[in-house]
Amino acid sequence: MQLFVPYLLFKKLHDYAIDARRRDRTWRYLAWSLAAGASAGVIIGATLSFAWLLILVHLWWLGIPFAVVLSVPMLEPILMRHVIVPMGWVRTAYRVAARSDPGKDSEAYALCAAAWAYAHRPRPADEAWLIAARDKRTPLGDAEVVTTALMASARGDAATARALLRSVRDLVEVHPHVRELAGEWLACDAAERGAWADVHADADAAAWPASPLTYLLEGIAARRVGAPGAPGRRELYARWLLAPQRAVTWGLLADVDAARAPGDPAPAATAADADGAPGDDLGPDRPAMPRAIAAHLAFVAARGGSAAPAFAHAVRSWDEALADGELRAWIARRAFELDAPLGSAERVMRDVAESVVDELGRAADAAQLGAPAGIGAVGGPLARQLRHGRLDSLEAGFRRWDDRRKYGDVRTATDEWREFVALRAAYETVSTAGGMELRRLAFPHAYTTGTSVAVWLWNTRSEYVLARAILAWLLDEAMAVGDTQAIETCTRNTRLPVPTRLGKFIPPAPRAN
Amino acid sequence: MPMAETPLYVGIDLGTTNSAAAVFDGERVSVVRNAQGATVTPSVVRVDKQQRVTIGTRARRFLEQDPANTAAEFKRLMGTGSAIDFPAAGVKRKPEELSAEILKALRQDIHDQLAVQIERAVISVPALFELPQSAATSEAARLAGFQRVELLQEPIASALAAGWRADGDGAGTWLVFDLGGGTFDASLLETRDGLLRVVGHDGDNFLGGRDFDWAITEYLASRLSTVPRRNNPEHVSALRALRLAAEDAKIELSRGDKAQVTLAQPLRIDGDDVEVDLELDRATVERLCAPLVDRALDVCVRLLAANGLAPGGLARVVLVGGPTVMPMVRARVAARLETSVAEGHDPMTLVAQGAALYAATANLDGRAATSTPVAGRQVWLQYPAVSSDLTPHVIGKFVGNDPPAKLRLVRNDGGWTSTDATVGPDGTWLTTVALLPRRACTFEIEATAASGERVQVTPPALTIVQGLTIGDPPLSRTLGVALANGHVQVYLERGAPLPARRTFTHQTVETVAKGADKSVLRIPIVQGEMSQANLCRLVGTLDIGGDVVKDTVPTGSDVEVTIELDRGGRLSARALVPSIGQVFEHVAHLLVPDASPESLDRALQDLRRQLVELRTDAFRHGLGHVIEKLDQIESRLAEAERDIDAAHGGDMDAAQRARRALLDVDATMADADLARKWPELEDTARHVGIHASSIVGMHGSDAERAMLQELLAAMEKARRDRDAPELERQMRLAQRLQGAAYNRTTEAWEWHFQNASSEIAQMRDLPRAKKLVDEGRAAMAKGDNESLRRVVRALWGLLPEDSEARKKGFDSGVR
Amino acid sequence: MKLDDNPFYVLGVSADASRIEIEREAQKLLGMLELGFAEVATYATPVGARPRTAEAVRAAVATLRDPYRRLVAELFARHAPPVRRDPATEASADDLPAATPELLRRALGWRP
Repeated sequence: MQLFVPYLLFKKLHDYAIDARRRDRTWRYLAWSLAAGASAGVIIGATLSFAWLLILVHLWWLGIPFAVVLSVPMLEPILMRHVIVPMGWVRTAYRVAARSDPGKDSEAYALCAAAWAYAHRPRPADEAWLIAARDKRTPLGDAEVVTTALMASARGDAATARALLRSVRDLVEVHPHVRELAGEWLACDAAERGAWADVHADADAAAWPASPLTYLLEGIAARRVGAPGAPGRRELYARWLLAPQRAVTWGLLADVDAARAPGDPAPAATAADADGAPGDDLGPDRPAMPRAIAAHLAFVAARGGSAAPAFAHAVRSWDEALADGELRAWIARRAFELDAPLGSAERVMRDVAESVVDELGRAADAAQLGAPAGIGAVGGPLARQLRHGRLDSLEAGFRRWDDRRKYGDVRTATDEWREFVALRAAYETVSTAGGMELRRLAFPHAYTTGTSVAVWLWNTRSEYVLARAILAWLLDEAMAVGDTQAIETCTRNTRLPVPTRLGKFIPPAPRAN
Repeated sequence: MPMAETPLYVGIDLGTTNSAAAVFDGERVSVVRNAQGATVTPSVVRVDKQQRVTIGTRARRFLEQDPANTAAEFKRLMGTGSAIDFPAAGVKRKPEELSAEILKALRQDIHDQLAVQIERAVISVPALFELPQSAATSEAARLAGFQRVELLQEPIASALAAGWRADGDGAGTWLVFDLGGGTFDASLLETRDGLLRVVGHDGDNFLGGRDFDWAITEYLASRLSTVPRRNNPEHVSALRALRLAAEDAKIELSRGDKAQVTLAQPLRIDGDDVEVDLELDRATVERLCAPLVDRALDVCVRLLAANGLAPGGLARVVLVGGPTVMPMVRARVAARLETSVAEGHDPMTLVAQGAALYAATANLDGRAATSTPVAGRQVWLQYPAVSSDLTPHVIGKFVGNDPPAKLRLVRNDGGWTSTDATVGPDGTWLTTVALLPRRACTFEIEATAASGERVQVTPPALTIVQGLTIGDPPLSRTLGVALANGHVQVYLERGAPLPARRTFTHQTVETVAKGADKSVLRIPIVQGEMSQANLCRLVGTLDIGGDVVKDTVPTGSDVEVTIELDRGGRLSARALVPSIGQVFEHVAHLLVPDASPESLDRALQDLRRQLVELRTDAFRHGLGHVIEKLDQIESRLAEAERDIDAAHGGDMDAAQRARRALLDVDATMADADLARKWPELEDTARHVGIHASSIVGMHGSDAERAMLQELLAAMEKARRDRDAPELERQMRLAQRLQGAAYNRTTEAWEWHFQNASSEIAQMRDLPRAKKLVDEGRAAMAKGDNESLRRVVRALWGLLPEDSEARKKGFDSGVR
Repeated sequence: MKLDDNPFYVLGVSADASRIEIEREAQKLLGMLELGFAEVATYATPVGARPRTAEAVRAAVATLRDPYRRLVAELFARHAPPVRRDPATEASADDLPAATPELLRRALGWRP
């Protein structure tokens, strides 16, 4: 038995190193990695040598199981990433991960590992199995959400996966293994989209425990956005050596210094587009209608930060064009020439305004832009449409959610969470576009419904983690809009300890306000 | 692609009372006569005991003798899903099956007369037919053995036929006044440069010759010793007999001045035998029918006004339909519209003729495509079978490799030859031809190889008719998707050329949870011109159900909806959910909703009640324009009431009309309601503002006071803009602010405490609740507001989940 | 103000075109589309080339037949910037050119 004491010691050291690494993003990250690697090497070496000995003395029936049981936990990361996941062995991933001793509630990581394998090679039979395994686990925690997100990613629906994984941060049940996976997915996704700023922001906030791959991407991101304290070339190579898939990541490393200046690649593209759309530089002496059309086209082509001013400019130009006397005269003359019915000239102005409002409204909705300050034929109705359209649909969405609760139309906890994530996204769209004023108008509805649903989830369905996340969000919003009554209620509610699979989550002391 | 053999174009007018068929061979339009030698076939079907089906004149005779087993006017029930009973045979037939019988007979007539089996045709439908009705018409054609049909609105058909005949100066604006057996359509058309265009149409789906007959019938009935009533099912047969007699008398009076209404057998009314022997004169009939004609003329004037025309601005009026034969109708129309009525058209078959002409425009040869053996090089041709343009393009493509080098078209009268068109390496070529006005011209195709050798071509020639044409048939009613906020997203606007297709992207407002079969996202497809969805007709729905989605589709997901409509009135729709990459295509087609007399009664009562409320309110606020609107509503309701009365007597048609009228009233009422609600809302807003100001002023924080000032300004702006939803929202916010400030006061918590302790009987833990109430009383006595608040919250925590306080979500302490 | 489906662009005619010219052009285009002539597969607009369909041509000609709707179409066509034939730029609204190797997520085991 004494033989096992060194094993346990090294194992402890290994686990400790990994755990410490997760909480770190300094030079110690590398040190802890080396420590973990070394201890794993020792364990595997010793185990295999001992097993070899056993086999030599014809005790292979003892040696092989011995080797498997002791070395699999150490080899799991490599096995998982390079064999099980690429092959898409969902159930094997589950079993191996569960036995790799990822700490308390090992099932959580096992589930996510299975989903990871599924994301790589989706098969219908595995899907059903995965869903069943996920839904068996109640109440909802981070692993279930990550699993759902990875399944969406398997379908090619990156947007849903992204939104769901981002939402994991709001859940107070924290499985480090699971979070690491979520962080890695998000970092890879952002890197693929070229959104290095997102990667860097997450690194800065230490939003996720960093896997070696995440750590590498974060380093590259820091260099690309030119952040202060970005890792040097040598450190970057060290991170690269530590990360898996070196052949793929080499390409990223190679052009890190050829990267563009800080910021998104977007502004450059926009400038090019705006140049391409002729007439953006038209002086006020040009006739109103061509100016309006040019401004409209420039807005449609605009991206990123230039969209808002382009939008305002388009609205203003339209308001001017439709109030332009010369244009009216032209329309009246042309209506006569074409033998259009009487009253056509007036109707044209009305119809054009209507269709422009409709089109600009759609585009503004898609770009999440706020209502313009216009008061003309386009600006006024457009402001009204954007405002009411957004608030109406938001209120309807919250109302439906609450109605479902009232009429006992119970959905799985995952679906309740997705509903919340979607509604919150809609709410955030409203407040981004409409500013504080619209946010204040939208809050009471979200608050009333959100609270009653959260209470129901907590009391009736014992979905503590989920309910707590909703209440915490409501508290943040209440503080933002300054609703004292709501602040009081939410503060009280969010101060309750939350039971999770990993023990009770005790909320930190209330923020000083 | 027409073959060299002369094509035959077929048009069918499937009317409410009469049907007709016509054929066009490229030169002449001729009306097809039936076995009895008549040009029109009554749309009457009889099924006898042996299940033998008789139609037309022979069936019409039985309308009086055996009304139970003889059906007429079933066209009005097309698309309603109601079946017609034939008790003698013990069978039920759907309206489209009965229409199919008529179509079968017409098809047979064409075969008998021309020895051709017709597979394809154009069938006319009323201008205001909705999709379920159009689809039922297509279905009838399918049942009658047609392979393919296209539908064309009746007024376009009449105008095309009338315009085809018109000499030279056909240019100008026309009105087609189509008073059919059951429907009235007024269409404004314009001819210019040989092109016919629908400018606009209007109509009354429930006004027709039938109403003339009823007016006369009711007059006759009122003169009998015992008066039969329409709402009494036992009087139905007597009234029917009387009505047939009235119809005959009406026709007689188109020519003579007096008519005798005599029935061979006495009518049995309430057990009495009532002899019918009455005299009817023209003046009386004209007096009875004049209001109905005026109603039709009102529609015409409305249509002219809508298109910026005054009476007198018309080039001419074309009269269509049986009732327009009455001299009184012609005279009244000419007088009111200040124009001449076009002469020389047969109002009974004009629609069928137009449909046949349209079949040519649409290139819909009635004969099934026969495969002729290919001799030489085969060429695919594209050209208009009918062209208003004197020099249209002819486009072609040779099949196979190594096409001929050059080609020209030679008109077979020898008067014209095209320039040589060069054939591209891919076999394509393009040229123009010269037509002779109002003639069918045939052109031989002469192709030559690079070597100069003549190449034989199949087809060897093509024929183009020069004449009036019309573009693609327009959509008769706007088609769109109803949105969650009650508005309609228009997909295809009225007048859009068919076939048409349009796609829009929407966002879901509801989550569709995978596996939850209760969870269904519905995309309702509606038809109508109103912007409010509930005032349009629901014609189909596209469902995205939780039982079929691959994964949960959360709120806010994109859905790309495509709506497609063909010329046969068939609607298809498709919803693509990009996030799960799934397409949903199954459209549940709806029928025209049932109109049971009971449901109509309820709807009528409901509207009456609303009307009274609106009226009281309008008087109180002295809203003159609202009162005016309400008076109009009142008279419409009275009309609807009469129809509902008739519906109780089994008149399904009147029931449909009443349903329509009630829907219209509903629309007007919604308008009036909005006008009325505003002052009330304004009033409330003022009060809320005053209250909030005083309470926030006393108990609110500085931030709250500042916020309230902003709010009051926003409320004032909303009031100025008359923006009701905005005002309501700002008001709600002001109330919240007021509530928060109020809750800082001692009295508020005393009040909450009193309320909560009064509900003690419902609380979960009674002993604890009692203890809390005692504590609260003590705190109140001491004026300890802090403890009182704690007690109240604890009490709220003991309330059952569904208690009112919880529902408001006001203070929902989590245990 | 959908410039890209303005009937004058769809038919490729000038805003001064007469009724007959428009009808003739539409008839020609429909025939050419039906027989698959490559040169009419797209049309130029101020925002780049767009694919031309028979439905769009039918809708365009129907619009221009109506004097009122023609007036609206002219209002835009006459005041818009000149047409261009380059491929449309609008489609790639949110997929900005990635500065990284394509399919990073797949290579890293995060995507099928």
